[in-house]
Amino acid sequence: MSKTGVKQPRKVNRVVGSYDISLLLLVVLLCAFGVVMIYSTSYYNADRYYSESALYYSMQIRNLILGAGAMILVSFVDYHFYVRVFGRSLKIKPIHMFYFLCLILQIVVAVAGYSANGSSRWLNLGPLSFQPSELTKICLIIMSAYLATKYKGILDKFKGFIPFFVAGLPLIGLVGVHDLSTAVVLAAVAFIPPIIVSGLKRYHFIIGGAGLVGLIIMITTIGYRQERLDVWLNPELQDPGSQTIQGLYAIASGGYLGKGLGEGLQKLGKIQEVHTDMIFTVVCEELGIAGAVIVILTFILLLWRIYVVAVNARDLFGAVICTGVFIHIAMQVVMNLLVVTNSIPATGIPLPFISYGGTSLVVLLAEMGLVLNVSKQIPEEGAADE
Amino acid sequence: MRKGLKIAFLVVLALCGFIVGRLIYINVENGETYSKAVLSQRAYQSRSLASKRGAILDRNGIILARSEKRYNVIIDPRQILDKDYYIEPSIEAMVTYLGYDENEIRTLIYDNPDSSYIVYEKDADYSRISEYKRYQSSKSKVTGVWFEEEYARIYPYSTLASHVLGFVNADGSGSYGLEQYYNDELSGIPGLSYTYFDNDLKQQKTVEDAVDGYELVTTIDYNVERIVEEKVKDFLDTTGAKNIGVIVMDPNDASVLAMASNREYDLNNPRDLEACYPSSEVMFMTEDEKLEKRYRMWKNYCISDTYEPGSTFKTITVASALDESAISTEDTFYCAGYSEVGGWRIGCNNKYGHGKLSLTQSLMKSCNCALMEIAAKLGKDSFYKYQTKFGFGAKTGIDLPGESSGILIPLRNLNETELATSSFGTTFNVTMIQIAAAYASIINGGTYYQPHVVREIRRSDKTVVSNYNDMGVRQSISEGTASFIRNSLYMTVESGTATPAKVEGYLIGGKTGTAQKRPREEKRFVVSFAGFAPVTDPQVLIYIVIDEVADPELSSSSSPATKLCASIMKEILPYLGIYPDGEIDYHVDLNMIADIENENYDPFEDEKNPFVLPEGLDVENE
Repeated sequence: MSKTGVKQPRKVNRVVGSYDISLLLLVVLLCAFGVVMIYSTSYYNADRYYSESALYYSMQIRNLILGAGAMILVSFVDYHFYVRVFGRSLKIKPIHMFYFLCLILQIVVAVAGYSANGSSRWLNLGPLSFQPSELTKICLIIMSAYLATKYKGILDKFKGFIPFFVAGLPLIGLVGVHDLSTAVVLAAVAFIPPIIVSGLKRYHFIIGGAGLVGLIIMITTIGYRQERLDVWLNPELQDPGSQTIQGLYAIASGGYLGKGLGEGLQKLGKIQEVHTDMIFTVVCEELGIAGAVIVILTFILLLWRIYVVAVNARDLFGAVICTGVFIHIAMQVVMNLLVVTNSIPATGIPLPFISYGGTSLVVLLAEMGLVLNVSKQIPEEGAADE
Repeated sequence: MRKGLKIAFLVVLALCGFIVGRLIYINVENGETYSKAVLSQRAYQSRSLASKRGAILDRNGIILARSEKRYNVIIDPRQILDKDYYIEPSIEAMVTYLGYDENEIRTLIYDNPDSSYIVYEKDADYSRISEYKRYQSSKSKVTGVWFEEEYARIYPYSTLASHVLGFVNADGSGSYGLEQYYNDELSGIPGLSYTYFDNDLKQQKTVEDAVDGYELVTTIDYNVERIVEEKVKDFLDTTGAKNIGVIVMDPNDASVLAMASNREYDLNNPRDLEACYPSSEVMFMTEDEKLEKRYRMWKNYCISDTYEPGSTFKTITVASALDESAISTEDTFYCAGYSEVGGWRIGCNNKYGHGKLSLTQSLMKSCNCALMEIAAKLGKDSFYKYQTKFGFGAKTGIDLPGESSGILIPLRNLNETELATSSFGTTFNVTMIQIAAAYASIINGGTYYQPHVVREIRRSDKTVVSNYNDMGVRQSISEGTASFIRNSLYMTVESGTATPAKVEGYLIGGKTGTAQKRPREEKRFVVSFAGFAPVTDPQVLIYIVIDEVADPELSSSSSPATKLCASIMKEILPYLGIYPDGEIDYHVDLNMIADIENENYDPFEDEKNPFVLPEGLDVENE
């Protein structure tokens, strides 16, 4: 398996022919914790606005069932299926179909999506409304892995980066118009895996630098983002209704051990998006720094498991898929936590597995399915390398 | 690629470390202030609870002002509309138990869906409220009505002692009188009620009770005040005057027993001018005039208005000169009807002259010439010193707002002529309370007390916060001087200018005063009288000032003031437990005239009648 580029993999925690159970357990743990926190944070607003305090809670359980189904399904599908042609008669690969599906959905949502929270990201399909941008994340993860495998020989040259750029830009651009932070996550899952595969090259700095400059220009030139910058710099001087300062109130009033689960006050109408993007502030308020550290440690353990699966994967394709998932989860966790601690300007990024959100949860669990499938195909010790 | 992934993992670890650091930093740096911010945001439905304003009592515990609880009904449409199933039961309960009109309530609720605070009824009676509350406590769907307690200020005797008491504004702050001066003590501390939603979505209420205000026990005597006001009213009805002020004081501690004027207003309705102006007049007043008249009406004549005291001041001049030993009790004076002072010819009240006068006689006859001579002997420095010693030219410090300090001729301008005119109480201004306090100090044996209206401040449970029983400030004159003056003033009433002040069966002392107002040509007068009783053991001091007696026949005469004093004395002395005895006159009369030359001689020392003078023997030791 020297062709995977993983030289002399060390045989750590190898599970042969079965799922990575500890990874699965960590995911279950995070989801269960998420459901509890969603109930704690949302019952007040749900009762106030919909007269049904368990509304978000039950919806999230439904999402969880859907997501579990998706995860199990994906975990049974050999991950090579996505890059194999269907057959002689149909010379097309599922990844290409998936890619164009995402592209169409993104275009549709850009034109006809309905607005929530000031940016249109949603697509309404009968009883289900979902965010194509979430679907795009998993699509770009597989696409990036596919391209990294296909062009592995030229990845250390600028030429090798062009396919990623061509594939990623339309989708990232379509999302970026409305939702910069999701576009940043998409760019990360599309462009970081090839960099990790090839190791850092000089041209990566040029691309990274250009991307950073573009990002700064976007942030500083667009109106509402400027406002968010002001809030970031001086949270206390701004409108007291801003979720940033209310979130900080929640964090600061939690202390080391918190007020106790369910005892928080800030969720009672003070923090906007408290059960979605700002859920971690209530974790801090109710469970204190101790609870927050445990949650962060759980994420680190999860990432470590994904890392282990990645480095032991059967082939490069599987390894890069895991890398993409790793980048996706790491990006969202870090960005969300940086936002709620007001370390970076406010932007709408949910906390994986814990924040309320159907599409996000289903997609994340599907990604876990991918990683589980990769973990299942890790070759036996000794057989791993020729 | 393993290396790349490892670096990525380490970067994530580092960022997580940074985030944990941020969390700790936020807690340490802002924990306290932000925690408070969280709590203060929770108190979003906080209401102030009215504190009960303390009562004002007279010296015997009669309530002159008190606060009574009233209920306002507050409707909260937002709460009622919160749940569909609240609406009908809540409206029904209001109609059934509070007696409101259903359509009116419904319209009110639907017209103000976002309002949480509508004062629907003020001063609702308690029986309806308690019925509603009883019903509401058993029905969870009945909501949206709150009761707010408010206190109304009640003055049971409406006009009684209006200038002493003052009134309370709509915002709860006192205006004028004790209500203003002791506003902080009376107000108490308002409480606070927070309402918030707990984790089970139940409304939780935390109440910080209001602290009742302190009570004031005044030195006012309800009955004395009532009698004085009646007599003033009688005088106004029969004779009339521009202004009348009466102060009744206990000379032994300068506590005010009564303070009245001709403009007592209705404290329960302080803006109503008709309490002291005829309604026919009020009708034609402009708003500005009304405003001005109200200010005049609320102003306390006894402490805020200044005037030239006139002859009542002669007592002070004589007391000062005696105390300074500038004259002695056996000195005699000659009055030719006028004196030449500094090139001016200043006339006496008797233009034919009083002839030769003893010191007592010069007070009895109120001789200007004798007084000018005495003042000249005293000298301007000492004269001025005693003026200030007796509290003139400065506020007395009485515990009422709006006191004036009067105006003295400054020492550097107190030349021969000014000294002469000042000696009989003209060319400088005083307030009534200054004269009363100065007289009290002479009468009580020489101790100047700060005049005061409040005797004790206490909590609603009667525990004392502070008391003002000993308000002695300084010694103004010696006991000997005081004793001589007392006797002279007794003679003045007995056979001098103040004979109308006599009350059968009592030893009354006093001094009249008549001061011509400026400009002098207009012949307008302020007449006054300071009287006290009984002379042997003074318990009551009355000081009366009548500004411009309406009857032209009487306008320059002090008799309206002396007569008014007599009529008041006659009623309040028995009330205060000082009973008449006809025999006294006879005995005292004989002793007095003969033996005035001995300063330390007390005419009552030989008095044997135990019924009349139980404490008379102690006069020397007062």
